[in-house]
Amino acid sequence: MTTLTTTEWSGILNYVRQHHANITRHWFDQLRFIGLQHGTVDIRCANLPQQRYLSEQCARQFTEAAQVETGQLVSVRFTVEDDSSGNQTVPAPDVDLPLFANEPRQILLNPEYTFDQFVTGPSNRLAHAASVAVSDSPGETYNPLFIHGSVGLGKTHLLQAVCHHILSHRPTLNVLYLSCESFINHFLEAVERGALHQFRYRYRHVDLLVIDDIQFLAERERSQEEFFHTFNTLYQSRKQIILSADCPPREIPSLEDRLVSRFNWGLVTRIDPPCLETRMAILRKKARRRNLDFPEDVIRFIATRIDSNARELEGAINAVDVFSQQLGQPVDLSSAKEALGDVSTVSRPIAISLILDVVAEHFNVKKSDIQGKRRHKSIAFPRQVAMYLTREVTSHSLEEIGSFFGGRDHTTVLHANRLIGRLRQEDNYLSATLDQLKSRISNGSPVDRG
Amino acid sequence: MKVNVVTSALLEGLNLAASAAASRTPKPVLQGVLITAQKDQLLLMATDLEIGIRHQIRQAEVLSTGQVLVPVAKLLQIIRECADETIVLELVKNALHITGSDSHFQMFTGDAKDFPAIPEFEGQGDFELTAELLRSIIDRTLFAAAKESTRYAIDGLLWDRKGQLLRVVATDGRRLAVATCPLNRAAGPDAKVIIPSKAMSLFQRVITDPDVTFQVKFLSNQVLLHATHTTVSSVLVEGHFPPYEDVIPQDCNRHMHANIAQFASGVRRAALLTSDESKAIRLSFTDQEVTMTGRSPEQGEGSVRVAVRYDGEPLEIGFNPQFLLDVMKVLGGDEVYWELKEANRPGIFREGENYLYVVMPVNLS
Repeated sequence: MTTLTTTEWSGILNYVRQHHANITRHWFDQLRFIGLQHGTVDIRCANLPQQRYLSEQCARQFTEAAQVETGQLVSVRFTVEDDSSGNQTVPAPDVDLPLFANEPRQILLNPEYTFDQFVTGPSNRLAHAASVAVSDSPGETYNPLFIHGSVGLGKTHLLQAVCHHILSHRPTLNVLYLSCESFINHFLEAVERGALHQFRYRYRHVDLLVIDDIQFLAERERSQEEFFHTFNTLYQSRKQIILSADCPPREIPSLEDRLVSRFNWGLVTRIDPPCLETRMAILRKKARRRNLDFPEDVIRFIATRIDSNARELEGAINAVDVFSQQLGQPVDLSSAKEALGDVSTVSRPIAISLILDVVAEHFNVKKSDIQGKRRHKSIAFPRQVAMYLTREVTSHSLEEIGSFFGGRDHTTVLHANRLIGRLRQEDNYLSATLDQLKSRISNGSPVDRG
Repeated sequence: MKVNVVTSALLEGLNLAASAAASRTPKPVLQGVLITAQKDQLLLMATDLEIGIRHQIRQAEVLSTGQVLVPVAKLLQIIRECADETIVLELVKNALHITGSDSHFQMFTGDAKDFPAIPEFEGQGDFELTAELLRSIIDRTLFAAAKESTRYAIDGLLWDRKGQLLRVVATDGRRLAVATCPLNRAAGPDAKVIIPSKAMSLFQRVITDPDVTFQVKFLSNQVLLHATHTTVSSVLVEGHFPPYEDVIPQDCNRHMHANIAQFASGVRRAALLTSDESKAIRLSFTDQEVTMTGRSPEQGEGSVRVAVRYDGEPLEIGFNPQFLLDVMKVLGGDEVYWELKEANRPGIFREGENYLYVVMPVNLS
């Protein structure tokens, strides 16, 4: 009940006009509705004389109108834009900021993370469009907006771009941007100091809550519960919530179902690794911003060499730039080749999560199922394959593999290993499949590009 | 530490401590009760860091002094089941030994040094309230406070003290209860503070003896409530309480008087056939009676007529029956007096100068 619809607000004005024509003034049209908090409707007027008139002559009539229109026992309060009188200000929701000693008053945003600086491409178009839509009308389009993707693909950039946009276009809105870790720390600190009330006040009275890397809520039972209530309060009062994570909601380990379903409520969108053209566009933008003149063939070369994420692209620009500066000659293809010589030759250790991706993709089962407890054949078999492949291509121990795949015993892994090994000998088709999966794993991509 | 203590007194103290201690918390020390044996008394302390309690037990023979921290819920269970008149608590090494005539329990103890400080009551209170007055204030307001903590600033009750007058206000956005009481002696500046509902329930629980007078003291961010053996402390809720005076309508032109028992019975019966989602009964006021109608789309409908004295134009208005029954329970006397205006405007129940209850109607269409 912390907001009014436009119809309710115009209903209030109409009610006053109809029932209390004697107090109505022509400038009532310009009154603006600010918010409904703690049972008080905040109405903003243009100047102090107006405010005095409203408070002294019209408070009762507006209260009556607000009660009739909302069906709730509310009261009203009149404030002036840029109020300097000091006695009738909008309640400042950040009164309790000093509660958290290490929290800066201003939220820290990277000034470069704006929409202008974001390079869109097929891999991130949906996430970008959703973020723009949300920043244009927070709380009304996609709520919550959940962006997930691997590291360095621009989640934080989009999150902060929304904050920048809202801060510059709607300065009255109360924006809170923070990492999940800060949320947990604040919560623990509040519990520790018996200041839960302040904590709740702080978090439940924002207009835009943006939390980065929400997957860190995993395993935090109490924080999850608190976040659940914060989420509900904001959601019910149509405040915008934006979250990011490195995987979709249902794959965040040990996240309560009620939170998973809430995260899926609005829009869940994924950012994929950028394609070649996008990588080139990113490189051009980054080079231009740093006033570097990179020829097109160098850009193409770097983009081909480095196919992971924007951070590594930036690192490559640095390497090429520094190298050519040392040589004292402009950047060209040969110096770039020399500078980046070792980048792609390093073979990266294979991550066990990649194997999971590849196997889940191939068998078309959910990753969470493979890591889960179900022992249905359609799931147990892919799990055994995944264990087998992990044993083959990594140096993880049986215990480590078992615990990654749903906390299983090392003997289970051993059994899977023997079973798949035997089947492989007997079944040519399986053997081919395993080879195919292995090559995808060493290429580092869950989808077969060939 | 070794103490011989009267079981019933210990049980009473532990009950209070258990309602102040935290039920779920990442800090186990907050689920404990700190028992201190002093020269001639036993002191129990518990807190969840928002509210705290100190309770002295005089009915104890202290054989040796000391201090021990144990989980309050378990100790309470042990003592509650104990049939002996007195019981012996003794700290031996790291265990608290609880010895009765036929039983012996050993509980592992926590580190008393980790236990947070709980404020003590010192000097005089800002004002005092008799047990009877305090109980009546709480009974008449607490039920109208918001139940969930979502709209947090009013998850608490406003204590508004102006000079010799105290007003306690509770609202959940659909109803508002105001209890007023004159104070005999009041010191300190006027104050407007919000006390959490949980603290108010604890206040209610410490009223065991009707002849006790409670001292109330407001500190910068805390309230202390003190009677002979017990001090309750609570942090105050920060935030803005709605300007409650504006909420109370002044222009009611319909008035109803009725017998409280008959009226309440009518509401209860009319509510029998209402559905859960549309919890509302329709009240039609005419000259000498009100017809209360309840309807449930799945089950049927019913109506009850109650004789009233009604002064004003006929009126059809809907209310949540529970909101009406809640106030019937706390109104004194035989008669209920109700002021109404329109079908979309709140109604007011009044009892003399000292109590009023504003309730928002429900839209019937």
